[in-house]
Amino acid sequence: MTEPWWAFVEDRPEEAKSFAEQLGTGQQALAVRVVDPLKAREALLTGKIVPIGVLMDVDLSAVTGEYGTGLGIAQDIRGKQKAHEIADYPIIRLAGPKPVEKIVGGDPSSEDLFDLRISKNEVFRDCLSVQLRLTGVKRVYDQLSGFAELDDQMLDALLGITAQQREEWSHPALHSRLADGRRTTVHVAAGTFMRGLLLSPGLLIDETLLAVRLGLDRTGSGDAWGQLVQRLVNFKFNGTGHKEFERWWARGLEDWWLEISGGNSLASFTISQRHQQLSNHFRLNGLVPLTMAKGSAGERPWRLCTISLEADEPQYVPVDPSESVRVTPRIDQPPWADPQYAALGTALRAENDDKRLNRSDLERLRRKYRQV
Amino acid sequence: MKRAAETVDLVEQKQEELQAAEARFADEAAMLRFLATLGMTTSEFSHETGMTFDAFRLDFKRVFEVAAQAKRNDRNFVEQAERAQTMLNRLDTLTSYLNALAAARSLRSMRPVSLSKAVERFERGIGAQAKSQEIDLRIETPPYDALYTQPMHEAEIASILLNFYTNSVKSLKRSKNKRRILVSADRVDELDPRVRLRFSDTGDGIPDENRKRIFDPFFTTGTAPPAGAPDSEHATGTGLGLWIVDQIVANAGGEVSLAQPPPSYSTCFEILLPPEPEDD
Repeated sequence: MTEPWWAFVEDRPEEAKSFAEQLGTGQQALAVRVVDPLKAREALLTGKIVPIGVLMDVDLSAVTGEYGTGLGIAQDIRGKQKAHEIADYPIIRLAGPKPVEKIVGGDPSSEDLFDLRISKNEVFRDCLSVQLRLTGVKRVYDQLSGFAELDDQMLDALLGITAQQREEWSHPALHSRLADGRRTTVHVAAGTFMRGLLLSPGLLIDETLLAVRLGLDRTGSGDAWGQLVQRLVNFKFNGTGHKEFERWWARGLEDWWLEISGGNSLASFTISQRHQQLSNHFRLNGLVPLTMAKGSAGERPWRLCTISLEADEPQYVPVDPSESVRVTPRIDQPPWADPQYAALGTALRAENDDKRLNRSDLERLRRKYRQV
Repeated sequence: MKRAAETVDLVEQKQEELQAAEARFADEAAMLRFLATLGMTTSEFSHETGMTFDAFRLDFKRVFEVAAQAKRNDRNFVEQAERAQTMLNRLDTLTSYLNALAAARSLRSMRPVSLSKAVERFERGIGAQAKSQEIDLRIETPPYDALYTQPMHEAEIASILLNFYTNSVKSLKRSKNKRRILVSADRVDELDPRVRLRFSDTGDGIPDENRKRIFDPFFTTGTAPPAGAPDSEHATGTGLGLWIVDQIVANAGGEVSLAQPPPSYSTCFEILLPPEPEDD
């Protein structure tokens, strides 16, 4: 019996092998085989090969006779999966930034085809993180495949929470969409779970955003940050994929803050007040307050700058929503997702290129900060 | 008769002037064709080598790890391998910036360009390379003013910065001063809203006799050295860099000049560009 493997559909086999072999090294090694696009199309769509998942390049033009793109093959796979003619497995976009910009940039029509979108540069920069995400998405598919229907009990198992926590921390629209998606097919529910829950801040936040909301410099705080995080277990996400996607329930954090601060909301505290509150509460030395990045105004950080996150090497720029520019996403966000903002300095530098930026916010804040 | 002879002389003189002007324009047109071809080739090269380079980085990393592990007791080898990896990282940063520049070059449209963003990108792209040359590269940009120029090609500002940078590196290598570069962007003042770029270094400066000629095409202070020549001898150029800068700035309706450098700096190039008109 051969080991299950990921199929990497890529038009330059020699180069692709380098990526495949890199993903096959280390403690989280994955078995990855490079598959020529022409062969992949036939073998995947007929079910001759059933990989753990597909890593899909977008530009396949280096192969003679290949006129399509990775998006087309991915769409065909999704169609066959929906018709239950082939197995449901994850499809990951694994491509370089330039082909993505050329073929996909600004066009959201392929957004829901892929469970994850990974830049090839990430394989070089942080291979372990890529391997973990791939393992995590497989886990989500495995778990969802085990449920024929999603009732409340199964939802709680999937989300790793109690019925009461589900009422308080989660969102009914998420539950409906997951249940409806699972009834359709696994990849629809998995897409909601991955893109809507694990990857989009809203109900869940990752460690970077947790630190931003607590007003702390995670790196600067060193060991003290590690000690603090260990004490925030009560609202840590324990659902499917929690080992690979470390997250915290955003409303759990806010509830906890109300308890420790005498009923005041976390968002209303300034950075120094948050830092003071935490240092006093936990009697921890070494917690370092967050410093707002140059070009990011305000002192009540709550979100990360959307535009800065979109760079091939994302920059994590905390923003205070009241002093930032709203961003209209290219696709409608689910009701439980956080609204998007851009740091003022970043927005001003992008305003001629990016029509998603809210013009009235830009003008209001431009006037306010003109002399700074 | 005399008047007819004068007229003939005048016509001949004008014909010579015309021929000289035609020759000059032909030279410039040839040079522009050469530069355009070079730009397109660079862009195509960058596109074609992108993934190969990425794949090479991955393979090299693995080869390095295995080799370093196998020969971990061989100090010379470990040093050599680490040096190679450092150089690859440096090359990586630099090529990323150049690739971005090549990609921007392929955009034909002109639009307002944020000077602040261009300077910040330059620092991110070149910072590691500068550090490797023991150059302390600093930038100063206003946090809430993007400093938009009137419409230009996006790659033009990057080309200007790269030209200044290569000149500065040469100048710094020739001097024994502590190597520092300061790139600042701002507006001139409230009365003059032009956007300003200042590029200063602590190199060996520009002699007075050269100050008027540095923007002339093919003006250079040296000839190319042999391949094996020491580092400092490589600090020479083709004499086209500042001419290109001058052409870009003039086409954008701006000015480039040598300005009074900030305290402790020896050279400062200053560019003034017309700003994007404000709506209000």
